[in-house]
Amino acid sequence: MTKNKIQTLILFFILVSWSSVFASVSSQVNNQEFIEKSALSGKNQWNRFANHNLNDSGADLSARRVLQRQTTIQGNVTDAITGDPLPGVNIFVPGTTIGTSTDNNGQYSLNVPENADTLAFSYIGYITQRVAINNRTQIDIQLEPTTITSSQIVVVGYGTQRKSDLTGSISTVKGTDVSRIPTTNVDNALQGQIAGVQITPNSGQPGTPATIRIRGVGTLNNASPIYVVDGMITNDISYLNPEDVQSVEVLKDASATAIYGSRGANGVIIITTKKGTIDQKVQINFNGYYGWQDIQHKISLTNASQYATLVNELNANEGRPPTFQDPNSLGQGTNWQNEVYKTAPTQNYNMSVSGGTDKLTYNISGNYVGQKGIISGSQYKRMSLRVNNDYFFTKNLKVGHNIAYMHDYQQEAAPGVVGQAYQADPTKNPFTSNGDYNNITQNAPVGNPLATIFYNSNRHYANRIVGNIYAQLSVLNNFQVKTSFGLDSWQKDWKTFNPQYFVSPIQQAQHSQLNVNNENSRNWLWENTITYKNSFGFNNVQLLAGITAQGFKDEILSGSRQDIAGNGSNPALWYLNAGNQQSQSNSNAAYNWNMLSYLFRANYNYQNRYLLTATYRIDGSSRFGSANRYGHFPSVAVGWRLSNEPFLRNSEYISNLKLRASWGKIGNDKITAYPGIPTVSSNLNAVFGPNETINYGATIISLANPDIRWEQTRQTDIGLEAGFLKDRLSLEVDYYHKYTDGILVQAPIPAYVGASNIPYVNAASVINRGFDFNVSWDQTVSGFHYTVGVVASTVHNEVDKLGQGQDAIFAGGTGEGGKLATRTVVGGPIGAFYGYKVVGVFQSQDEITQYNDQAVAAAKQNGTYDPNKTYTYEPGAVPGDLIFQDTDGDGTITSTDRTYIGSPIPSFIYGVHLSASYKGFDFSVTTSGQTGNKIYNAKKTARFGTPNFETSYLDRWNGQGTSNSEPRLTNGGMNYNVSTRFLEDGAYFTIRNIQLGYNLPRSLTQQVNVRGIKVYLNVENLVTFTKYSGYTPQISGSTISENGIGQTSTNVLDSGIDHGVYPIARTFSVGVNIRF
Amino acid sequence: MKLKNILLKTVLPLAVIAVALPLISSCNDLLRNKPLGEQTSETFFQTQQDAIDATNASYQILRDWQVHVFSYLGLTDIISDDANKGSTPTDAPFLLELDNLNYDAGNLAFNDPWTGYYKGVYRTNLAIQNIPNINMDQNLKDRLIAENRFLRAYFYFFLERGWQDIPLVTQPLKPSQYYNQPNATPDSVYAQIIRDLEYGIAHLPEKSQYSADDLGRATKGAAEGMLAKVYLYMQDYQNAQKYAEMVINSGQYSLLADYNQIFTRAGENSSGTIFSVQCTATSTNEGGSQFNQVQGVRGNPNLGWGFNNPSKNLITSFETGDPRQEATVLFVWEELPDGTGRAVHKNPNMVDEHYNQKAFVSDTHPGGQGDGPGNIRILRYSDVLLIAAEAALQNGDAPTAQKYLNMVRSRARGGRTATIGISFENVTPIIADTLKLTQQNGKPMIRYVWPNSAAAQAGMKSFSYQLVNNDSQIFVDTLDIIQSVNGQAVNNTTDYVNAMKNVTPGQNITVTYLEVTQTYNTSTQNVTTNTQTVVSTFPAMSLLPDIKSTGTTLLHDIWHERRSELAMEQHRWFTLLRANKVESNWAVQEMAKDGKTFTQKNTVFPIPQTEIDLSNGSLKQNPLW
Repeated sequence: MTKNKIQTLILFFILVSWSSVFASVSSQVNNQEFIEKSALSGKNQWNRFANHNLNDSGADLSARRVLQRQTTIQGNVTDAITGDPLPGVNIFVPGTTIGTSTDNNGQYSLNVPENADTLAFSYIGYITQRVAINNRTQIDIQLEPTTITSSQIVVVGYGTQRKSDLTGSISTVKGTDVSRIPTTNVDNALQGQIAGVQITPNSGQPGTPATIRIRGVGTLNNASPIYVVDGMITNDISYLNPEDVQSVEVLKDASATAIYGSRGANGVIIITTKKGTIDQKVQINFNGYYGWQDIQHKISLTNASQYATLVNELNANEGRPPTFQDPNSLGQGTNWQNEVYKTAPTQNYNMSVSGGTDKLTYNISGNYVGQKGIISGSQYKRMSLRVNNDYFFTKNLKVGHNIAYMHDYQQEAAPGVVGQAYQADPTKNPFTSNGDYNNITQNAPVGNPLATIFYNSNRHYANRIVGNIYAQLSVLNNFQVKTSFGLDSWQKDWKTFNPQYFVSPIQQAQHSQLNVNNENSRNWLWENTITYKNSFGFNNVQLLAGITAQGFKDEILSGSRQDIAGNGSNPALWYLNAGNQQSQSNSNAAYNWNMLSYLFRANYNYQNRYLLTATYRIDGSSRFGSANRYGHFPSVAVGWRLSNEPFLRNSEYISNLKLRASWGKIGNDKITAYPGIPTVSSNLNAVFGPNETINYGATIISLANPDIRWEQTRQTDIGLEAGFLKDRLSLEVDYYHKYTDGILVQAPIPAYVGASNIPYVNAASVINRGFDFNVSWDQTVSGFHYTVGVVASTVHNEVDKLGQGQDAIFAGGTGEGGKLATRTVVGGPIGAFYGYKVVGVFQSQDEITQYNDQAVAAAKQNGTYDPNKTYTYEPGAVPGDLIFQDTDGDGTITSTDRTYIGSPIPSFIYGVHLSASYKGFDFSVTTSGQTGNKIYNAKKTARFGTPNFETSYLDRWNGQGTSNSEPRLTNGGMNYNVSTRFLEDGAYFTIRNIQLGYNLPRSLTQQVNVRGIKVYLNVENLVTFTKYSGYTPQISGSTISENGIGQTSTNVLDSGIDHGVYPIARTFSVGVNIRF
Repeated sequence: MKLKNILLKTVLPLAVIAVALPLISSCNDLLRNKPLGEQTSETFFQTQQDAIDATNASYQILRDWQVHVFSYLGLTDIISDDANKGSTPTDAPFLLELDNLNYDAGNLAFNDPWTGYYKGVYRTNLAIQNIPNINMDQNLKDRLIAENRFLRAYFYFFLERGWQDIPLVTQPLKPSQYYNQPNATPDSVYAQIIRDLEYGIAHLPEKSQYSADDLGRATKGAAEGMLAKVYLYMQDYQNAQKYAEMVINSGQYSLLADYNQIFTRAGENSSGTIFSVQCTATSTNEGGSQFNQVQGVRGNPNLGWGFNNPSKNLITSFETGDPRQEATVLFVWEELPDGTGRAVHKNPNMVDEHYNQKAFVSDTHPGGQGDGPGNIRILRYSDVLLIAAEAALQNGDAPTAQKYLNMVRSRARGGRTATIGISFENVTPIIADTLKLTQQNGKPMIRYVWPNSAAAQAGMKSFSYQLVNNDSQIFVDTLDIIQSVNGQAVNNTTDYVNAMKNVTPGQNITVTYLEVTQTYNTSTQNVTTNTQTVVSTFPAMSLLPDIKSTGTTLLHDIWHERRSELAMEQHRWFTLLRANKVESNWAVQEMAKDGKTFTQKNTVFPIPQTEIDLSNGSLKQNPLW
């Protein structure tokens, strides 16, 4: 795509937009304004979305034919509860096309034939009424709202819909439920609030986003959903201020996500930010909190004397003299976790101003977040500013923008410090008597974590602008044309600096070194849609067509130098020019991708009872070769609102009942930019000549697959929505079945292939199925209001087939030697843990001999017995070693005895939410949990040297009868094979958040001219109930780099493997919210 | 109204089409992205420069961690009787498993070289497949292909000797071939290696035919020497001798007079170098390797991690007075061979602390420790001479065998024929200062006295010391410093060598030496230093005399010479495996002397379990594992 072509395209759109403006001006000749109420924007918010008008178009022509014999009926329509006039209500004569709608004041006037006997009043969000005319000329009607939930307006892809009209599975979280939780990231705040959504914090490092899985893992690849923020499609929402969020919609089934085609397979999260409303007085809102974080859970590690005891015993087992003369004299020693993890403050201040006139609405907000990490030196700061304005140029033309600017600053925890705190030798002091950092490597080749923190500087700065500008034009009343241009421009700079220092041979730098990186990514999205909306009697139709184009480019420029002046003691010298020019190196790399898409959607409903949605999207992506460049993504869904049927309409108990079903096909293109093209790696240099000259070298060491195509998911969803007792009790249940075909796998390949990078192949098919439940109870009893909500979902994950003659995909390298801990096979879950089953510990040589007899017996049984051969059950085993199960029954333990030992995917995910308020007080609790998954404690298997032990090692076998589960002490060997020894139960239940708030009495606040003041106390991550021994059972897997630049994703083939994550913090905070 | 209908029916659809058309027509361009800043397979292997670049990339992998650094040392030296694991006792326990011969198939050490050597195979395969299609200078094309085929043969020779039944991959694999490679027979692997090396012999220039800028590339002599070695391992002694003698008779190589010089930076690419991995240290880390760092002195001075320590068995295996012991082993309190006057300080955290002096490089270079400049010696002329000697013996020509063997020994003698049976080194400033004997600084001190040597019988003692408090304070049990030989004053090691040059074996010599001892009073914590000048007269011994043996004795002599000459150069383990085939139980006996139990299992490395797993069962583990 050349620049010229893009410019041509832009020009075309401007022309089209102008021609539309022209068309709209001419249509104003007979314009009757129609305003739709948008529940999204709150009760007073008007959205000048021109709606249909039955007096226009064909309908009024037929009305004129019956002009002679008609009477005029007029009246007003109001809300039965509030008494407010309702504009835009449809009034028509059933069985004819005669009708009108109410004006801004809820007034209407309609000429009806004399023989007409009934009028029907229908309005979005209200129960349709039929009224006998009985010769009246004045009919005033009060419309009853349908229940709260069913009248909600829900944001869907490229538009909004009444929740009652939805045929897809969409979960909504209100902005208040997001901002209520004091966290810097929106995704962290969603945990436990949405059925079918598993949210796992990747790390406790401030500023790190979470991993999100919607309805299981439908891919072997990047399984993260996409985000659509005010229409802008992005992979990252770390810039978002949770306070700015108006609502979060999670699109789960194919009917909802297919409009996003190739992007939707892992689900779509739509985030809408707050706007001002028309005719709204200025509202100023301040919210701030200050909190204290500390480590939620420490790992139980041995103290100095325990460690020394174990080391001596280990030495004896491995044939070395004891290291420590008198272990008992060493006492507690150094608790490295206490040295590394400290209490750290967090703070967040937010100020917003919003309001509107009939020409303009605005919402301006500013936010400052400052969070220190519980590992000293790590911190995150973010300043953001958002301006969301709409300008009403004419009655038909609205122009608006949602623009956010963010500047953030992150200091990452020093690399490796979490592992060092876990492994460091407890018998060593952090400091020498001179106050220097102590060399602690004599027994364990592990650096001094405090020195690591001190000598490491890793600073990220970023500036990011995300937003879109759009123009929306109403044409011919039924049409709405919208063009929107969005941009996500993200400039990231980071510097790492290490001074010249020496602590120990493995912890030193001979030269100070500065690395500077600048990364620029630019993501543009241009969307053009036309919407047509009309009603024909009881038939309501909405059509959408659009063309969108998106482009992404990322470029990174980096350089480094050594020997920074003054050994870098002054950060003012952390610039390349302050280093030795001889040592300079630089690099520059980039990648890009583009997409072009066509989308169509039709919504139809009859009498608001029978609903139909059909969508179709065609996506073209530059990632794929020309043969497979386009993907087609259809979906269809039906719904039946039983509660609108006459037999239920007046039910005392059932306030809402809807059945829906959907089917659709969606894609996943989350892979590298050029998976089909092998690239040449440069700087593979050789040295030749008497002067040792560097000779440039380059070749193709990364493999690629030119034949790869879209990964496709077919999803079926059957759902039931119900409300009882005026929706006091509401219930939503979905059954889903996702079948993902042609999964793009970057499956490990044998080393003998010789490649340095693994190509993608369309290799496997995976089924995810299960139920999502969402139940809530909402009641007010004499001023006491309380709600109880439960979300839950089940996941059954199963691989249906593997391609390319593959029997299994091994992955999940752990411990010394990268032993593969997972094996994905047909019939099992993705990334299933695979290893030996431990059945005990050999207590004595006699027991080993007994087991060897089994080997003899097995050989005799299968006729291979040779009396001259010695048969051993477990080769090399000595008393104290683990006994593995002979799963293949051949009498001897070999690699074929490894078997399925557990799944990393939870079978049940749930969250419970409680809230209550009474007078000025409110109280809420959010919890989440999961069961059915295992965690592989890989950090425990990595014993390169003799690092510190988890206290579970104290239960080791050290003589007959001492243990039948923990083997004798060794640093390697068979006891470190992948086995159930290191597999732990991953179930947990965590109290995510508790908040207690108090609203100061209005009498008090009025005296200081303030609308309201709320003070609150909040506890985040108070306690986690789990059997897992690590810092947290919320293990998302190892982080891999996509394209080697910037982005990270999580490889599902190694999920649930704990290599040692930055621990999650518990936070106590106090806050105040003031509304002016 | 009419206008609106017109608009509805015409303008809007037209607008939609107008919007759609340009997008549709331009989409093919929009979606046809090419990788940015990277050449692709479509643009590579087009020009002569591409062919050169790809060949350079094949050499680059030789500097890789997986190919010639950490686990590689484990699988060659540490596993053998030449070396111990080194470093601190509990660092890298998987290498200790190799040292103790109690490893299993899950041992990490088997992964890296397996992976690294196959990476080399892949790069060379790619070049061998694509360079022929490039329109370029034919001679250069042939040479570049031949260089790649030489390197491929080298990679396979290592893999074959280690794992025996390995996948034989001679073209870049297609996706459908990734998971189904079977074990190939050793015969077919060797046949491929021979074809590649023969191609190399036919198309590679001799060392002298290359331009100076190409120094370090594979040569005709390297291919011949490598092929001689391959035939030696195949026990095809006719061919082994033939190709070894092609090297010997080529006139391209000679033994560098001073054995000590070979392993210094100045000795890189000297006359006896046939092939070595070229490394250089730059401040931008482009041309070095970690080979030096992992074997470097650990502690003070801080030069590395201290792995791969010469074993006591190796140190004592050298013949009486063999100067190569001192050139091979960097002892504690020895002066660094870089002229800086610094000594290796005792590191109390190390066990049996000795370092591989052949891997030593000074830290006075622009690269960091991880970017060492030392070339990694792969094939030396003396190795080829010993191949020729062994092959000639097996071909029934003992005199020729003796001739080649004695060429190696003659050079090792360094111009002397007599020895008193010691190894010696300079008294370093730190020792002289500690003992308050500064006037002894730089004089030859006795490091090691061979048992039953003339010096031992005369009462001279090996240097021994104890450590007090910390690593900078020692106290000496015995230290003998030579003052004069046959009346010639000896003020430095050169004086000693020159004095001994005039001595013939059996001749009586008079040696005056200063014997220093210290006593330590544990109650007062006082150290008392005693010095005593001793004059001894005794007959000199023969230093590395020419070998005149025949038959099995000569074979054993050649093997012993191979060990002494090539110690700590990563040849020992494969020599043991080979010798064990020539003479059954040879490796068992040799390893037993180092306290190691060699069993049948140890004759082949286990294939990494991950490879067996990933190959979906088409690749089989060696039955011994």
